[in-house]
Amino acid sequence: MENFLIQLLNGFVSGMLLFILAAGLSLIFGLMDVIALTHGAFYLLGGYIGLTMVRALDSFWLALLVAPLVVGLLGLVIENFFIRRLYGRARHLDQVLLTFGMALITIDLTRAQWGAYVESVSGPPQLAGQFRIFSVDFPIYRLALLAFGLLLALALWLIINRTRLGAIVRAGVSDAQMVSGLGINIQSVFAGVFAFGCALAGLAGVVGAPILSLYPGLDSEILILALVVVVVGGLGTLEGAFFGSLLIGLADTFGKAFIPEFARFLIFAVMAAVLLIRPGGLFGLKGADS
Amino acid sequence: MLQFIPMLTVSEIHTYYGDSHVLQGISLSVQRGEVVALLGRNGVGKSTTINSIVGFTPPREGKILLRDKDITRAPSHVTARLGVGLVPQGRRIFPTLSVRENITLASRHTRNGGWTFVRILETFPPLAQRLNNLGSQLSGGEQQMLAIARALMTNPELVLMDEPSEGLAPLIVVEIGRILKALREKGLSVLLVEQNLSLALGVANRVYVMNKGAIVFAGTPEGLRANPEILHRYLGV
Repeated sequence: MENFLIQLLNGFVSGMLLFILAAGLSLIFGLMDVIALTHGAFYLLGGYIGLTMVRALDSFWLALLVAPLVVGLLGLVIENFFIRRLYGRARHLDQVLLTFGMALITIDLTRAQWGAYVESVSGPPQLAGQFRIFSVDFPIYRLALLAFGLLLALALWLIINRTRLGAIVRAGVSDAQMVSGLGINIQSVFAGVFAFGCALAGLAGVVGAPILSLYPGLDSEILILALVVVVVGGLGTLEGAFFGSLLIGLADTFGKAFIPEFARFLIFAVMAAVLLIRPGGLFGLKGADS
Repeated sequence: MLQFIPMLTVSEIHTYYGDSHVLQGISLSVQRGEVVALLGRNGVGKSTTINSIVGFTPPREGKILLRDKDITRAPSHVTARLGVGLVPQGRRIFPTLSVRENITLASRHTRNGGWTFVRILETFPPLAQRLNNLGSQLSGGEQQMLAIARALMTNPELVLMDEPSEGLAPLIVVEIGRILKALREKGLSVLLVEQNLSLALGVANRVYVMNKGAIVFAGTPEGLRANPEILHRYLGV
């Protein structure tokens, strides 16, 4: 029972971490029809930048600020010089090749800079220690991450659903061309959303590092989970990214804890089950083919 | 009274979809305050003409002037900001936005006495009842009103309307015709693509008929009514 409670909490924490990563991925996919395979690499890059900041300046909080900024700026540059050229292509292959190539380059550069060893990052000292919930001790850092994820989800939800910018993004997800036909520069909205999504990936890398550590290969592990979240949740909806993340985070955690041989299988079984019942994902507006 | 100030001048535009040569040298004009109808059967290039003007499918050759500004290769949002409002084919209402959000999304106040949220609701009372509904929950006629309202909120000088009567019940088409006449009274310039001949001829000052990517008739509604050959060959009347 205690183990179950711990795993349940771990599942929620893992879901929140996935949400921070997948929210950007899903928005970029829904709005721009771009599958940003750079997202795993940017997660790792954000984590490594955080690692350097923590080691050099001994400040996790500064890392939390700088890493997303750097990765977001990198995203802005990439959108501006490369991805922008591929909008409106009927085939996804071009941009999949582009973002996959960029992910490989990013990973090789991080390996050259930070090496191939497993690097652990300690969380902020203010959040060290354990907190007793019912009868179990649970790391305070993970609870803080859980709360942070919930707050971020709420803030994003308010921006998307209660502001004009959010309305433009939602309109763009359904019909970007029509939005530009009304005099709104959807191209700059694309650039902003792409950069913001990349910044979130960098942020996820920093907040995830004290839990998952950092090592080459983590990028593809986490990217696959985030892609599954996007498919399960439905393309381009925040609600989908949120509940998809929770579902996959829980499935992943419980799978690894109780049936480790089938952990990977369980995630895809959940995905298949969701797609059988709702082919567009939990909150999907578009079909799988659009 | 029409003062002949050019609002839109399309000169010899050629537009392609891939290798297919859809518009083969289209020229037409809309004067300030004029409602001009663009008629023709399905697939003759009427919507492509609208899409070429607004920049969705820019022409490969030719020139498009808005007033005296060259918008031939301008991005759509620039063209829209210069004063072109679009009521597209199929309405293209944003389904996940509320009616209120659909109306206010692109609102721009360019001058005094322009369209405001309040004036839009007075002009389209059915929309006022449904502000908190989603765009996808409206009937076809309501969606058409919303598409027109959405375009008017950008305070355009020229409105491009692509088949506003498409798929609507006859009674609603009459209502759309009434709205079009009201907009004409207010001095708005309109380029109207229509399949519904009586609606188009009822509001238009001038008429063009298209066939296979070319203009085959240009004249007045009376002139078209008096030309059974054109009516029969190109409009199937």
